[in-house]
Amino acid sequence: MKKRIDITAIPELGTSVGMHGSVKQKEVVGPMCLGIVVAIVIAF
Amino acid sequence: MIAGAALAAWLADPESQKRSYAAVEDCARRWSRKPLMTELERMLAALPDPTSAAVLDLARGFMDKSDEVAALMEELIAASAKDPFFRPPFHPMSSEVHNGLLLFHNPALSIALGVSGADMVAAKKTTARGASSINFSGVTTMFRYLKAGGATISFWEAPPITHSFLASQAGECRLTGRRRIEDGEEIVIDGRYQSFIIEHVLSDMLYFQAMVRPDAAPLAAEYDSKTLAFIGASSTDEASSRVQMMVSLLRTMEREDALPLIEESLESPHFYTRWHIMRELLAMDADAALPALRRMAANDAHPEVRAAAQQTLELFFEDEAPPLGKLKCRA
Repeated sequence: MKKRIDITAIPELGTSVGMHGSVKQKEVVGPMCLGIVVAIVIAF
Repeated sequence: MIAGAALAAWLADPESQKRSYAAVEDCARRWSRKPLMTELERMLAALPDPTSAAVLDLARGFMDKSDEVAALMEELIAASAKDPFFRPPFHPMSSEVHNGLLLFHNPALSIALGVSGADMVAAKKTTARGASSINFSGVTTMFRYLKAGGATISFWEAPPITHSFLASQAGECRLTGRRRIEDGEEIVIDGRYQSFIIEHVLSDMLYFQAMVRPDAAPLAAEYDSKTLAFIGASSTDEASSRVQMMVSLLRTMEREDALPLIEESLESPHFYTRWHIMRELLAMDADAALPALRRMAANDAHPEVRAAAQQTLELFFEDEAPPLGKLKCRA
């Protein structure tokens, strides 16, 4: 039988990196809002 | 949206619809064959070393052809005036503070022409609620302001984002300058350590924006605009994020037949993707994952990945615990 480990018990990195385009807070008016818009447009 | 009698008439007339679509397709065909577009594609493909600086130079060449870009815009405006159902054959882009068209796109370079309305910027600033961020995009972006709108911009820097980025050492960002920008000015922001904020603007800003992907950092970093402290990171690599989500889905679906493919994706250049995939592999088949886990613990380029792999070995694989001689005395 295969050994499986509960994924929630496996250590995570101290540096958490979210998915592309995700943000924690709203941006002050700057370059990111435009960058993400370009990326999203290209994705679709 | 164009509502009312004009829309009703257009919807009821298949010939009108065909004419609208044909005009869009004709415009797309002609402009995709113009030297403005084909020359840039050709020069990008011919670059012996597509560094961000080399790609940036080609983007400048595109923007210098202002007569050709103006001709394109005049044609789009004329076609839109003639037929309200004509849609420019370029991806529309819009956010809270700007509207634009994506004029050119290539894996290495995207060029857009956009407008940031003074009222849009003012509305965003006056209606802002809650905490906000200064973002370091991780990619090089060039702005050429055809109309600067009397804008004042503040410039910011943070510790450089590298492939061995550690949140614990991301520190704080800092203000490096603030000044008014002028019509025709060009600003290059190396998003690996630079950012900017539009502080205020007197009239609409019209500008080219070029996003250059070679040499991009693995992640974008976000700093709180009040405390200036690092608060989070997100991937700059859309494909890598999609791979992560697909691997998680495959594990949830118990698709063990996909294990060989999943193991291949452990070669990702991004530390966070490598560890994400390793966790999924361990959850699917820990014994199959063990050789790669050992290699990660010994050799991975990122210190947190090495540490997490070693901790995992010690937690879940009895034979992998450190030799007794290396254990610290807890007495």
